[in-house]
Amino acid sequence: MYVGPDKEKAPILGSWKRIYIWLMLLNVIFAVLFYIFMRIYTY
Amino acid sequence: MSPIDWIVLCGALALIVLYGIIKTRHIKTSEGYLRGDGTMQWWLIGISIMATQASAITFLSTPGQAYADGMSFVQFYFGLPLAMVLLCIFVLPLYYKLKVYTAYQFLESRFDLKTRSLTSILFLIQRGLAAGITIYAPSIILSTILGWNLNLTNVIIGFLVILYTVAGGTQAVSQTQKQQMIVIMTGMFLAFFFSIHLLPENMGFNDAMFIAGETGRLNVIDFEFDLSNRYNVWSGLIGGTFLFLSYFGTDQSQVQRYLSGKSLNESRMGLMFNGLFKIPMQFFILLVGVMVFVFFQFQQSPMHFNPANTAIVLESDRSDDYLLLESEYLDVIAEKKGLIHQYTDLRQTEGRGQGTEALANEIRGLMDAENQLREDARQLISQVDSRLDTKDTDYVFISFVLNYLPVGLVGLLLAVIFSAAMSSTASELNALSTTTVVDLYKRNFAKEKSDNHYLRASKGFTILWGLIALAFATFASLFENLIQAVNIIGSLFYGAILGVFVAAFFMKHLKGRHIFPATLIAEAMVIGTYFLDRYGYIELGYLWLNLLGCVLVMIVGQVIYYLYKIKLK
Repeated sequence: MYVGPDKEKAPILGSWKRIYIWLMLLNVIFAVLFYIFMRIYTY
Repeated sequence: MSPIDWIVLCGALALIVLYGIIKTRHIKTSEGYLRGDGTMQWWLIGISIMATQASAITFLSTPGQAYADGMSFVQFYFGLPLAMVLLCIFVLPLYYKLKVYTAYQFLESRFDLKTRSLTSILFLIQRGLAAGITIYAPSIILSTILGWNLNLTNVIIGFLVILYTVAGGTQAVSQTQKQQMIVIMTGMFLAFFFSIHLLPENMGFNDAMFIAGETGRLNVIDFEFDLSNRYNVWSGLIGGTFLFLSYFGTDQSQVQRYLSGKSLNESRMGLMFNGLFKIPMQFFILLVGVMVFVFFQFQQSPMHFNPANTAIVLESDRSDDYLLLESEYLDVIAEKKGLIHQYTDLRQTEGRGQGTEALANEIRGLMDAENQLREDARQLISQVDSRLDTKDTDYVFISFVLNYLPVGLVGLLLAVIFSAAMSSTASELNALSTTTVVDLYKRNFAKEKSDNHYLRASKGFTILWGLIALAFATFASLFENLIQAVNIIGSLFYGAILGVFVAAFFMKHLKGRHIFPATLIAEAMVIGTYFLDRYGYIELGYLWLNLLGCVLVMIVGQVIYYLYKIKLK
């Protein structure tokens, strides 16, 4: 028997889509901040 | 160590253990013991996940790595948030829908019982050995540097962990991890603060960062795609995503943490918590290492940080050679120290320009000379006794803690290391016991017993796995390069486990009759490949065995699927 995500019943992302996008966005912001931090102190 | 340090260390550890036992004394069912009665809130799940992943070696090695190579290691974690999102979308809903206790339970619904049993056995071998190393690795460093008895240190860590993990199961693990994370973060923040506070008088954090930048320690982001460079943005995003998907999705020591959530949404939030705070936490630990590096630029840092190795060389007939190297080394670091002062003065008064650049070039030249002398010292140690481990970066942070931090804080930082070792080991023992009971014992040997029977069995297996881990940690010192051996054994099995799960999720046409033989064949091929490498027929880094195992399970599974199809025609 195949047991997998129930795609018919609910959309796969649902209301969580916004949280996932925010998480990824915040991490991109971290990466940009790290990059700026690095550039400030190095040539 | 002063008596105050002993009081802080013993007090912190005793409080954590007692808290774990008292807080979970009400647990009377196997459901409560193995899954925490589904009462865990999202923030506790998040903390628990982070504490499980961060072992003592994280806090000993990572600052040392920043000291030696800079901060590029943080990129290794760049794939983690993406892995968390993918797990929340595809894996978590499935585990919740099936109400599983372990990740391998899902494999029976998807494939069959024998695939489930095989995968859980592969996990038990790999994680059982790793639990021994989680205890042994910090013990060997602490016993070397503090002169403690190695076996006694192993036994103390092991005994404390067994005590509360047996008493309260999953909940005790998560509840104590909350306290352990408080100790860990407080200790690390104080270490960071003191690394700035102990700098020479006219210097602050900003000055320290300029020195770190000029000496190549702030290489946080590297966009260049280079397969030979272990840490860059691309290896972190691609390799890291796969690694963390398999670790958080299929390793029971992590799966058990989020399966104890109140609801699917609490578990999701727990993983999001990890996805948000993991990278800043690693960045901070590496930054502590960079600060320790800058701090040591103004001190007489040892040429080699492992005091046991230095003592062996000084007692050998090569001691004169070592002392000669050391006097050269001291000249170089004294000259470098003067130049760094000049650099800072000039930068503070005139800003950065040609003058500071010329000084920075000179400093970099002296650093190359210093690194060469440190390398020469390592080679000399190897020549005296080839069995000695000459990598000394694991000893950098603990040397800083013991020699320069004030009384009381030394005890707290040692409590950090013990807490980290205990938090990871507790999750491992908990997962090992759960997998043994749920996937093997209850499913194959004792099907219709009372709940109390399974509760007692779970406690019994936790003790048994604790003792196995402890025995392994005790005998570990008898073998050379043991940590690497355990990593190799891990790589031999991890890929196949991941392959089974990937096939379960993404190759819907494959059934148990295809994937079970595929796993056995793939495992044999991985072990064969390892021996081909070992006896020099091919050259392959052992980390690639992870990928090989995973891909082989899928390919062989597909081939077997076609063979069945042809046979049916």
